[in-house]
Amino acid sequence: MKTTRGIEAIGSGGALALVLLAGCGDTASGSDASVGDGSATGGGRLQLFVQAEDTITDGLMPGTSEESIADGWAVDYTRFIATIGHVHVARTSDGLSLEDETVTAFDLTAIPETGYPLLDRAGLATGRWDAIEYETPIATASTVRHESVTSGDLARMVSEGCTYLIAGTLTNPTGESCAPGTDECTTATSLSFELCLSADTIFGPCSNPDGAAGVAITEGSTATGAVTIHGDHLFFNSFPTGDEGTIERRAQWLADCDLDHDGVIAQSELEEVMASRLFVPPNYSLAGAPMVDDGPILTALDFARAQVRTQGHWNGEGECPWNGEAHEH
Amino acid sequence: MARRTVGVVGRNVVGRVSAGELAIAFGVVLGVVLFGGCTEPSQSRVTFPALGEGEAPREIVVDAWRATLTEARVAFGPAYFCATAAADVDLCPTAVAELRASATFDALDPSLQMLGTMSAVTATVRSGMFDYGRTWFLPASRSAPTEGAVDGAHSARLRARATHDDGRTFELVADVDIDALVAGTSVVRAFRTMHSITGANDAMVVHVDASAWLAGLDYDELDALRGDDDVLEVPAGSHSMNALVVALTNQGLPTIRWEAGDR
Repeated sequence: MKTTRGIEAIGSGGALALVLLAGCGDTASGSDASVGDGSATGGGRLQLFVQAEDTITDGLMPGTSEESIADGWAVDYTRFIATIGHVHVARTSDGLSLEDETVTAFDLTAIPETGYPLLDRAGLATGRWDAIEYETPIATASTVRHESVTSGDLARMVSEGCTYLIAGTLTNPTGESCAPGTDECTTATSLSFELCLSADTIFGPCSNPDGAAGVAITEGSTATGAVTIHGDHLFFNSFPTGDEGTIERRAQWLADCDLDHDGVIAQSELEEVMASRLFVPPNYSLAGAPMVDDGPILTALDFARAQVRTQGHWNGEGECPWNGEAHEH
Repeated sequence: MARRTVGVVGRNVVGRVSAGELAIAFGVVLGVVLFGGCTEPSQSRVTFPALGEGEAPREIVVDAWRATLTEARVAFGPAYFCATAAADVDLCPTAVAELRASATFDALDPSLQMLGTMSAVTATVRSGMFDYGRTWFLPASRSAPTEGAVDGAHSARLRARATHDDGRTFELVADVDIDALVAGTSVVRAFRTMHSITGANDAMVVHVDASAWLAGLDYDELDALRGDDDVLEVPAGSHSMNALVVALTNQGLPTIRWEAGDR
């Protein structure tokens, strides 16, 4: 919190010593210093999975608790397809790294409890692999289609240059859709939406919920980790860079984008609505948003694209800074 | 076990430590010395100026309206800069550089204007967070202006003359207040900027293009609101005021320029 920050903490002897010692990095403890290719028998094994926050599988309900929608709407996703891949795992202490260029399109609404497998490597040198990055790139012809995704949906994502294909419904028994920036409202208790969002993003280096970086590999054991995609960022009222506890979830902005009041929120309608008509104080803030096509947020579609660029996490609530520097492939 | 009192020079702190604790402390210091070779060079505290820089006004055209600023005063600060890539409260609990106070500068003046003194350590800055003269410190219940706020109250004060192609003309005045959504957070977070602070010859320059902020205003709305008056104070909650808030927090953010070494 603001009351605790400041540079006074730097230079206090013991803490400084610990910082300096920690700066020496982890030392691999195993004898096998090579990067595993899945066939080696020494070292440890790493299995990565894709995980979906339950807001994707169960939806979001109206209410005042965390992960509830504050303005009365319920959200149900019928499809939440994401392209995920380009995994890069490294040890900064000695430069060891492994890459997996595979990019796969998964529908996260159909994900099993165990998640979707993403990477499996054996024979890894033991120690902490502290730099984990992954990408949510735009779907291309080389994107692998997971069985949860129809060929038609993937073809659309490729042709339209999308990272996410997100479809669902907003429901609110007392809901209204209001012309953006006005008080002219029409009754709207159920609205459907389908968004094909371009949001090419690099996430990482990732930290665990307890703050520890990456994943620890031990001799003869299997370490696991999960790329976790959150499903509520589309409805965040500002842009998180850390703790999401300060965020409110609001869906009225999306309901207001049904400009023709036909019950279907079209992507073209989001493109028409100026951000300054929807995302206004005291309910919203656009500060700290990721750039969209190297520019600011001008429209509601830009807002949606910027929000989904923040929803990649690690092992649940672990943080992966977005907009990280691209690593070498 | 005998205990001795150790006074820490320069701080209003007196602690009691045992001989064993002293041994541990010595070990830690020794560790720092021995392992210092595998770390970044040790950090030094430095101070250097924070400066504001504006741009001469230029005409902005929006449909049939043309608008030009005649006044633009902007408050900047407090500001915190971090070694992490996305400065925010919990991702950057400790700043490597900070401007604790705020100050108002003339955003129509392209010359460098003193904002205050940066306190920093020699380290690499990768991101920042800042307020526009209004800050929500804990445990306050709401955001409040800092001493450097514009006229002691606002984030910015803009005055412009708008003229329609058909000859209608009026002056608009906007007192813009930009508050954080949540207590203890900054208005603008995760602001990308990169610089290695090397010493007291550094400087941080905040550059603002205030004319660009006029591009999002709804001049037809403002013209209707003014009625027969020649001067309109842009009302809070109007689309135009919201557009200014969005401009200052997203669409028209300042740029931060760092200068190092001999200037």
